[in-house]
Amino acid sequence: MAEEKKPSPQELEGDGLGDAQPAGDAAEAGADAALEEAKSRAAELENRLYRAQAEFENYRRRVAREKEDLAAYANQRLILSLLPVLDNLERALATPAVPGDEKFRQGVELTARSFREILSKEGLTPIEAVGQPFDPNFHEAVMTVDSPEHDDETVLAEFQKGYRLGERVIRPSMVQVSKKG
Amino acid sequence: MARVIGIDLGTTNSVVAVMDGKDPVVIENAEGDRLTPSVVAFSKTGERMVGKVAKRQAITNPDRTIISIKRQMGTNHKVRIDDKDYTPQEISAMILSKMKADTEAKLGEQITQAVITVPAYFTDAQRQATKDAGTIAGLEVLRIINEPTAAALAYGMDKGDDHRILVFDLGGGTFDVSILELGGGTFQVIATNGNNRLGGDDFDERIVNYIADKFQKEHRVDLRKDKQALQRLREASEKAKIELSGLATTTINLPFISMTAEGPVHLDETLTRAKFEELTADLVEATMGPTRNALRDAGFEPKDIDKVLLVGGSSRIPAVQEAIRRFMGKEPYKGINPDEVVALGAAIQAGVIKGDVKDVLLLDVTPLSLGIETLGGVFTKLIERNTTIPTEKSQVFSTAADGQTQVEIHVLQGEREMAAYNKTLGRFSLDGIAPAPRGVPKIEVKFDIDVNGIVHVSAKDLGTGKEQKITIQSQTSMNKDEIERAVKEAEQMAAEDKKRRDEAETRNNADSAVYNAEKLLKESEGKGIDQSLLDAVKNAVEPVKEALKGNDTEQIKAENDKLTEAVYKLSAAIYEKAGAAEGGAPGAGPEGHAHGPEGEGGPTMDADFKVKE
Repeated sequence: MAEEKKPSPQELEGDGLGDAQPAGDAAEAGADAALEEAKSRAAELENRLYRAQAEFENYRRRVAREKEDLAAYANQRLILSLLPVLDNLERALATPAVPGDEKFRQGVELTARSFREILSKEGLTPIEAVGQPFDPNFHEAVMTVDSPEHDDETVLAEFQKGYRLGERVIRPSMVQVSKKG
Repeated sequence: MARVIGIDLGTTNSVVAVMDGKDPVVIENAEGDRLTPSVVAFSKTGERMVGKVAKRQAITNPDRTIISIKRQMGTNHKVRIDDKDYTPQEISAMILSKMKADTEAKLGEQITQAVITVPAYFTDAQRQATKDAGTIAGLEVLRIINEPTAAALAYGMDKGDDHRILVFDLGGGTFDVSILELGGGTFQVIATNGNNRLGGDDFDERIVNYIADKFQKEHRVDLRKDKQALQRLREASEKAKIELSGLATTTINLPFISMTAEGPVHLDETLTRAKFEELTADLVEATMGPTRNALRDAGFEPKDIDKVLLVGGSSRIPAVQEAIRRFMGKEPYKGINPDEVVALGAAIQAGVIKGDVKDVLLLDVTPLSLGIETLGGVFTKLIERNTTIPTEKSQVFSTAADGQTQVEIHVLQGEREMAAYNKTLGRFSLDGIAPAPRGVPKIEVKFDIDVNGIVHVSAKDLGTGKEQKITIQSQTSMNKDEIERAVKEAEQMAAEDKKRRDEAETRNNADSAVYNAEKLLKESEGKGIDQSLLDAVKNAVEPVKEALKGNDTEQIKAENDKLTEAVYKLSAAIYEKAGAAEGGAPGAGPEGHAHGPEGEGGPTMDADFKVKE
């Protein structure tokens, strides 16, 4: 940090005449100016320091929160990419039974159940859709059907199950929604 | 400090970014996404929805769902909802409000100012409308900047000599080409062209139709008529398109896509990149027209353009990149995520206006690791390379030999494990250390790098308070190539270096073990301990001493392990004896472990200083 140079009395402008008094004052003024500048610089630096500290605190807090989120949802991508497998197992079971395929069906059912259990342990929960009022926070409408018997915008059918991971909706239910005329 | 955010308010998607230190980062929205669909909707009850949620209910609510409002900015178009007329800027403000609120929640601070981007061809009226949208959303818009300019900023192209840039922006639904000229530190837009009905969605549709047509021929079912099947097919097609940017072939595998009288039908098709390119060749060609026109309007040839930047998700498509490469005759810049580059550039501009960037640029990093030489010729790092400065780090060390009264501090810079391979920055000694058994004195070595990069190294005897220091000026005088070379060399030699270091440490450990074992033996004499235990230790010490004369690290380690075992047995017996005898003072007790005594003053390295002869 540069040191402020105090002007010596001889270096001051003004008439060479005059007693020590004015020169003394001027020297004092010079010293005062230097002091003021040093003070304001110190204040500026102090301000910067506090800002930097505050920013760091905020940053630290944010990183801690992000870490929490990351831990809670670390598996989200993997689980999301595995959902189509569960979907297709369930689709297989939704096809009409054929005589003689009971054992095979049962096998598929057990596989689907075991998969569901594993995912459920990871925090996956299916979203309620059919019969519920349509809610875009949880459902995605791909078609509407006129239906006078139902309340307006009720979910009539589910084309693909939606799922929550903890609180987060990782895949909305793909649904058919009723419209009242 | 209130931060200024940068917002890319796009036709299909919007992105927000902010400076974090000296780099811009994209901020996720409340749903955890980095992109927010530019969709606004009003529910039956008048509730407002923005983003993905609005998109999900679009089909049930087409009249009250607004998409692509950007196309109406600057016009008198009005959206009528529940007897109220909304201007395009009011609708855009709803999108900006969500981004403002989500960013405030993520950062934990209030946001009141923003920089928003617009297409280079936007008129004054369109720019003003965008600024108004910001104001309505509660943001002071510090500046409206052009999207291609923002992209250029993100790539750091505002530094350096004057040059010409072509920005190729192929987004979800629009295509824009801009020609910029950097002159005297500012960007000027020379020409623009494009097609605002051409984008990634069109590429997806080609796949959907190809697959659906094929399926129809085979199974006589048109998947496009089945909403569920169509949705699945669309999603699969978009995924396939993205995969083909990296792979030469992919599959679209949709079991149970449909039901016929004969039972369920599956879709399992392979799609090669070659086929995809065949299906979309005309779309790619369609981007070349506006590119040619923009150049013509600017009065340039492809060779007059110095740099080509890629913006927009669809610019990732290999066929598109190839077409640009061939036409422009140079490799385009694509290192920054093309979906986010505009928002990142806006954030950089925000930082510059706010002056944040200036402050942060004062901080530098130390380019290579700094440390000292310790016992065995090992380089002990105190400050890791790329540590932001100013910084300080201290560590407590000790002496290597009994009665050592002086230590030499050999300050080095580099990445190699052994001191001999690193660069000496300076040396100094600290003497007057009170004579003591090795490992007992505490010498605190401190590295302090000030904001100017000057390194101050000090060594202080915590016992006597004596201190010596040295100041090194030329720490950052290595140029970038030298630094890279040093790092690379360290990586290549890492395995060899580790071996050498392990050897040195094994030797040090064995040496300490011998010293401590002999000390223990002396202390245990005449205390009534089982002589066989004492003999076992005595006998185990000799082989270690022998091994230390040679260079066989394995042998040293093996003999040392045996010694350690014998010492533990002896220690156990001593403790038992001490416990049996009442009030056996554990204070002066055995310290029969290979490392030096634990100090109260922080971590004690078991690697010690070289004795100065």
